[in-house]
Amino acid sequence: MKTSRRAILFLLVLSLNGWAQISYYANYGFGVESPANSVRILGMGRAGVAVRDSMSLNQSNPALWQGFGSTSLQGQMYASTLSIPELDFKGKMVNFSGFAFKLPVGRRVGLAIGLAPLTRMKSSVSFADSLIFQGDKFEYNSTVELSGGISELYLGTGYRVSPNLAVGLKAQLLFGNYVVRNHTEIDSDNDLESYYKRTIAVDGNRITIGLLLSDHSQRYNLAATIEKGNKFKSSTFIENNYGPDTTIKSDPINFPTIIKVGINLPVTKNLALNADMQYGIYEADLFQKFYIFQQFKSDSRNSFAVGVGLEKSPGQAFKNTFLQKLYYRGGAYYQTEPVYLNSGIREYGITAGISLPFFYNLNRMDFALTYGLKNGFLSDEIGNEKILNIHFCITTGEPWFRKYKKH
Amino acid sequence: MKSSILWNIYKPYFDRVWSKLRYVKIDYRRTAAIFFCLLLFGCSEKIPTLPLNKNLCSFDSVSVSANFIMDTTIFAEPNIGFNSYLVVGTDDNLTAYSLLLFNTLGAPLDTLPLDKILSCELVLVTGNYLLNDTAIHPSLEMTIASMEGEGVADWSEDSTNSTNFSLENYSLTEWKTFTYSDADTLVLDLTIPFIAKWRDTTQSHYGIVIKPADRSDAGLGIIYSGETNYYPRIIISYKGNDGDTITTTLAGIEDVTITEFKKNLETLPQPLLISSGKAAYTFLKLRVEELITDKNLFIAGANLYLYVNSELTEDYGSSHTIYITLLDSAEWEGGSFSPSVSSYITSRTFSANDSVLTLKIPGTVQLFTSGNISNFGVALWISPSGLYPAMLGFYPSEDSNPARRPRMEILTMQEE
Repeated sequence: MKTSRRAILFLLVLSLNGWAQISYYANYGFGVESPANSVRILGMGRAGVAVRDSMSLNQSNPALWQGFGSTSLQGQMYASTLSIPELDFKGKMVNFSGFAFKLPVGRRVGLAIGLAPLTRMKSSVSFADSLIFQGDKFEYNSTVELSGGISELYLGTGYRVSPNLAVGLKAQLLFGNYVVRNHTEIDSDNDLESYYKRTIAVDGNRITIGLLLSDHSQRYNLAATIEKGNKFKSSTFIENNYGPDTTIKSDPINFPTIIKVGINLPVTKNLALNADMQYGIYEADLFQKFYIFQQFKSDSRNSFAVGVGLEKSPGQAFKNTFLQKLYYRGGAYYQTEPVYLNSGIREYGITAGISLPFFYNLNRMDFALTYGLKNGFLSDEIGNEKILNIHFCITTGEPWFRKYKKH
Repeated sequence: MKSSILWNIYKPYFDRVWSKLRYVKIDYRRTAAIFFCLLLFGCSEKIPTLPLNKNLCSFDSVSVSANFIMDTTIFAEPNIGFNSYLVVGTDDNLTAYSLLLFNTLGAPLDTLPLDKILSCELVLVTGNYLLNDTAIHPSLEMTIASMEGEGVADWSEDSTNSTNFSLENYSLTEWKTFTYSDADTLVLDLTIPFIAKWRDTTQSHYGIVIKPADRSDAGLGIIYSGETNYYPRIIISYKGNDGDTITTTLAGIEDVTITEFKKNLETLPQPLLISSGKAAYTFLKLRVEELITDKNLFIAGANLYLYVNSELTEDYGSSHTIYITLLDSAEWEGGSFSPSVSSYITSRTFSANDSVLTLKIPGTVQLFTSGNISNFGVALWISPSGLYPAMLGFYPSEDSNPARRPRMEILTMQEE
């Protein structure tokens, strides 16, 4: 109990320095990838495509969406800070990171629906200069603010074909808006302000197919998913100082294909090792065709990510202390991003997390803490980015729709 | 080694603080609620702003030649009766005289024997005479005459001007010629017979006129009008029945200046003129939308240059505020215009010492290029409440010398 007080005190102190997923690299491509995984996975080095979870929904693999222990609703949020010592910059932000609803349909089938952000962009750039026009000096200052991102509404099901094999299918409706606001102040005899707003609406759909292979006791798991985009397009709406432009430009986008493989291995009775590898296949000129602001056109490369994590689950003793009831996990990850401009973007970091089940193990609170270092083609200008994220998820469940065997 | 020494030094203090913390009773639910509140609301959002070395917008310049500028001068009836000044005099630019109408003589003055009237004085408060090119202060002389006649329409300060008024329609009786002096209060004795003439009911009376005397130097003098606290007035003194001296003041009820411009202002090609005394307005149609077809292009600068016609221009040493008003189709096509200081879009101070009038009108050009309004041109005018004898002249787009024609330079900005 004493230790639990310390844990809460630690979290309180931590919350005073809340953060969000922000980055100078957010201007490029689709923006910074948002952690749409469940918080449990995020605490294990982002590795969990093969990790079963009967209480809370593991969004990363629809093949896991069967054998649910409860009907549940979960919501997630995260906060993070970006610090760049070279620029003496510290930014903070809080974001909602989705919700999910799942329910069991018999013993072999489960259904899940949810909403989650995929990418997020929030940043601004500025430029100041002056020119001489007809003998008058024009000083101008342009500021461009970019915000938005892509989110997904997904609906999926998992089916346990046999104790060793499960498959799943997830249909995702992708949607979102990016907004570019360009504001230029011109300081001359006639002080003028220019306003320019461009909204890029994106929509499309994507399908994820999941596979889960297990040993007979379902302790060793091997999993794979493939996410394939389809019919993705962007439309541009322009609004200027003097009313909206009627021009609407619509372009098709080849959304990337993401392949993940993962493994879940028990090390001891209550300790499991998880490892994931992800490979994203991007069209080479994707971000030459799709960019939010002209200055942030870039090339693209296939992305790669790898994560490794350990999780210690609580023992089955009848009277566990508070700390003995917790799940503990930690991990590390490395990933590259698809944006490429003379060089790529790399991020590596460490993660930690805990989970607290409560009320008859049908409800759970998950926390994850990640600390990463990001560097890339802006490193010469800004140095390395230090990103500290705290994720929180709460799952509330009820034993509805679950069939119990009659003896 | 250093850290372990520090740790050993401060460990007792840490232990003491921690032991106190251990006995603090924590309400977990409340603590968790506080934690969430802090997490949600304790973060002030701050996003990174990256200073770029790449320009976020591009600039370009567009020249609008006289071929894309349509212009004309519109003459209307001047309406300067509400001006604070009355102008009297003559110079190369114009001849001006002022009409004044006073309250009628009431009892007992309308029947009082003339021998009981002691004096009749006209009081005028003057301003500073209008400067012209002559550095020498002129000796201005003015004549006061009463206006009588039969069957002549009454004049009014709201509608009478040089286009509908002529002194020749009146029978003038000159009463006094006086020398004008600057910034002075002039008390002018009008003699008793002036009262007798005023009371003569056999003819109609139309007030008095103050006009330049025949022998006056060239120049224009200023008298404060009835719109000010220094209004013209007639003070009459007479003996009452009890022998006491009684003084009555008659205030002016109407006054207006008639300005007759001397120069030929209507020549070909028609010069561009701006004057409130003449009621001349310059109409310009800047066909910028034909040159800038991208309606989203931002107009960062737009300088309209009008070259001063010094032969026609007389500003009397003062600067003038030129107003610019958008025209509608009826005004442009019909050539009618009623200026209003409540409806102009921009203004610019101008002095004839400048050889060119530069109007900076980026907002106006933006209205045309964006298609936000239809382009029926703009009117350039100066307020009738200003110095109305002034005449500002500019060379038109059809002037024989291309260098003197109006032109415009535009700076456009494209964001991204």
